[in-house]
Parts: sequence; structure tokens; C-alpha cells
Amino acid sequence: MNELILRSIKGDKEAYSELIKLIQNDLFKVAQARLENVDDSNDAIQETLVIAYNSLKKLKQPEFFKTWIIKILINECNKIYRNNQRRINILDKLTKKDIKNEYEDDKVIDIDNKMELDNILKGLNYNEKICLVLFYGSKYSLDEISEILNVKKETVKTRIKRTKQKLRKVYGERRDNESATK
Amino acid sequence: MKVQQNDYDDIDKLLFDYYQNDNIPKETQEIIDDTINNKIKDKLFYKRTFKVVAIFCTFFIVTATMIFGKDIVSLWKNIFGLEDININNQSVVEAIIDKDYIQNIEMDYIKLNNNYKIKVDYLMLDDINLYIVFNLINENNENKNIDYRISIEDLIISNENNECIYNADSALRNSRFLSLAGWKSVKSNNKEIQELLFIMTNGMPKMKTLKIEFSKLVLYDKYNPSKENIEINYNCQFNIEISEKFIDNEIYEYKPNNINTEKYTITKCIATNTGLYLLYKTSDMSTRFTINDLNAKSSRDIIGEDSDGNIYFITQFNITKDKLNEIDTITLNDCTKNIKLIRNNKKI
Repeated sequence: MNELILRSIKGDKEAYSELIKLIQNDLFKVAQARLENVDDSNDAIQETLVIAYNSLKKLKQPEFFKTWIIKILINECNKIYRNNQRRINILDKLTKKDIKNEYEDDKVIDIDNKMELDNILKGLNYNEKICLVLFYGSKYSLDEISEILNVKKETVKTRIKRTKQKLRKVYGERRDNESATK
Repeated sequence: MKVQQNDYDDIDKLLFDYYQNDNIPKETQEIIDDTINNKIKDKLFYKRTFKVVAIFCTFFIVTATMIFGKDIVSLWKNIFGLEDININNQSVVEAIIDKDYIQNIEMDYIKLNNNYKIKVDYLMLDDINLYIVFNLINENNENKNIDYRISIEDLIISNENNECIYNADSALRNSRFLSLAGWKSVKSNNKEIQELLFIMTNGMPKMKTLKIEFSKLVLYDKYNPSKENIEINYNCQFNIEISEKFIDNEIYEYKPNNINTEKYTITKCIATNTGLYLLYKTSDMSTRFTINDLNAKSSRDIIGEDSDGNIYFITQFNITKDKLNEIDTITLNDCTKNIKLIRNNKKI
């Protein structure tokens, strides 16, 4: 990857293309954590690719390329998110779903069913979601996530821990129910 | 692995497994490929030719500027481009640049008080859009280092039939059509403020004259809106005669050849001088449309909500009427199936 980064910095578009292929899944997951709408995620990714390519020379340490581009992407996602918030009065009526209410009511949910897990994770707030995506999806360390999100490492740790506790609460009840029925 | 071995539990496994999905949507992959192939310039190639091109462009722009007195293209983009506020009106800007689809308003400034005077600089109109550029001048010599924005508190724009096109009080806007309206700051220094009012509708009424009236205008600090307002009270009313180029333009209308689904209803699809506009209503926010051929790029905006809670959208494609002269059928895709739009040959 380092070699691709160095060639990209010199302006090699093909190297940049191969580099992006290696991280495009991570880019999409991060964009989706902020912008659930695929169109918006695509817009953010598109802007990020152009900005990153044009700013490669500013990257002082090539080994931090992935962290750097994720930060650009998060900025672009936040811009689109803020613009979308202007229409929140209309959007709110349609995007208020019962998913969050189901989750908060602690109904027993079949977590092994991916759709159910999708719904639970969608009900998390952005700060919780982005930490999960970066930690479990992109496999960044707590230090790296702290750098990307510009928050303390302890904050990242707490967010992940709190989210796991939420899942644990639902998952634990399910296991207890299964044991009781045997 | 960043998780300590003794902390790793079944929830960690669950989440690691969940996020291992390596598939991105096909459309996202296409966007990435298109961006890298077409939107990013190969720097190695451009490094070799950059100096020559830069010298040529500089010479051309200087010559053109000397001959014509202004850099028209960047002027129009600066005034009318809405990408900064996430509205892709590129085909509108292109129509203005390439086809001179803009009206320079010749009118004298209207003096509001001893310090300020106002006029309209430009106007653009088609069956969906109305763009008006206001210009406010401060004749006072006092030089404050503040960037101002205008708020015309009670602005009403109507046509010769007294149909209301825009009312600053959104509750009083025309109920005959839905609209999305906004303001963009073009210039905001202490001496001159220029702002674009853009309006998108689901059907602009025909008109030959615009009537503009207001009685209260507020200038506010762009970066500190809550402080140092300047209020100007003046009963201002004037008319603008709309250019012939905007009146009685033929548009192409396309209709779907199959029944709309429960998910959405296509209410209109028209091609004007500024783009192809697909208007539809839906309660499913994931609804979206693409056109695979004709090199179509699109943007989507909400234009309003009716009393039943249906949200109306406009999707704007960068295909203008002149590109569709020979095309009677457009193939639309709603992510699950193709829909053919057939041109209605009745002149509209």
C-alpha cells in the first residue's frame, strides 16, 4: 500500500485507482454511518476522492493515508448532513421509524438475524455508529479513531463499551430465554 | 487486532462479523470508477502541458477581458452556481453560459434612504425555475469591515395576473403550486451586496411581467446574524418586463407508458432550455431515479409537501431540450425496473 501511496503522490492516477480499491469498502461504511441515504454517501465519497487526490502533496506521512482520507470523508459527510438538516421538518415525518422505540423497549430481538441487527445499529446515534464502523469495520486502533474523530481516546473507548452494553442487554435476555425453554 | 485477547467476547465477534461485509452497491462502485477515470486529472500528463496551457489561457482571458470587458463564464458560475448549498443546477448554469439564457435587467437604482439603493441585476425563467439577482449599494463612505446579507422581510413577487410566485411569508405562498426557494450570497461587502433568489416549482405560471414589492429590508452580519442589524423601511414596488426569450418557450413533455406503482407517482417530466425535470411524489424516501443513457447526471430536491403528507420531489437531469430533438423515448430506472417515458407530441 505504501508504494501505491507514494506513486499516487507523484501523480500516478492508476496507482491512486488501485489504492482506492483497497479502501473503498471502508469509505462506504464510514459514509453510511453518517448519511444513510446512498446518494448522499456517493456524493460525499466522490468529493473526497477528488479532494484527496488534489491534496496528496500535503500528506506529510504517507503511512497515515487511510486515516487522512477518512477525515476528509467525515468532513464531506458532515457538510452534506448539515445541508440536509435544513429540510428536517419534512424529512422528520418520514424518517421517524419505530426501530428506535423497539430497541428502547428492550423487546427480545433475534440478533442472529442480520436484518434485526441492521435495525438495532441504525437506531444508534452517529457518535456510537462511527466508532463501531471504524473499530470493527476498518479495524483502526483506539488511538487512530481518537485522531480521526478528534476526541479523547477514553471517549472512544466509552462509546464502544456503552454500545456493547446495549447489545449485551438485548442479546443476554435472548440467551436466557432460550435456556429457559430447553 | 486491536482488541485485547482477554476482552474479546461474543458481542465483539458479532460486530466484527457484521462489519465484514465487503460489498458496496454497484452504483457506488460506478461512481468511484467514474470519478477516478473522468473527474480526476492525470497529474503526470498535466504537469508536462500545464505551463503551455496556463500561458495560453492567461493570454486568452486577458485578451477576452480586454475586448469584452468581463470574464463572463466565471461571473455566471459565481452568481448562479448552487453546488455550495448542495443543489446541483449545473445544467441551468450551462444554459446561462452557453445559450445566453439570462436577462440583464436595465433599470435605475431605487433609492431606499440616504444611504442605500437597490435594483435587480439579472433574471432567468423557465417552466420550473425563477432566478432573480438583487443588488444593494451602500452610498455611505463609512467603511465597516462587515460582510452583510440581505433579508427582504416581506418580499412578494407576483405576475401580471396577480398570481403569487413568491412570498417571504412561506405560509402565504401560492397554494396552486409547490416551490422550493432560497437565497445565495454572491457579494457581501459593506459597499455592495448581491444576492440570488432562486425558486424551483412544480409548474411556474406563464407570465410576461414580474411585480416586485416589499416594505422592509434588513441587513445582518453574515457571520454574526444576531448582532448589528440595519433595518431599512421603504415602500418599494416595481415591475420587470420579462424578456421574449423566456416567454412561450416550447417544452418537451414525456409521459410514462406504464402505471405508476404504489411506491411513487410520476406527476410530470419536462425538458426545458435548462434541463430535464422529473417531478414525482412519494412517501418512500429511498425512491430515486436514474437515466442510463444520454450521459445523464442528476440531482434531487424536495419542493414541498401536500396536505396528505406526500412529499414532492424534483430530480433534475443535465439534459436540455435541444439534446432531445430526435429522442421520443427516454428510459428511466427506479432501481428495480425500467420505465419508458414517451414524448407527448402535443406542443406545450
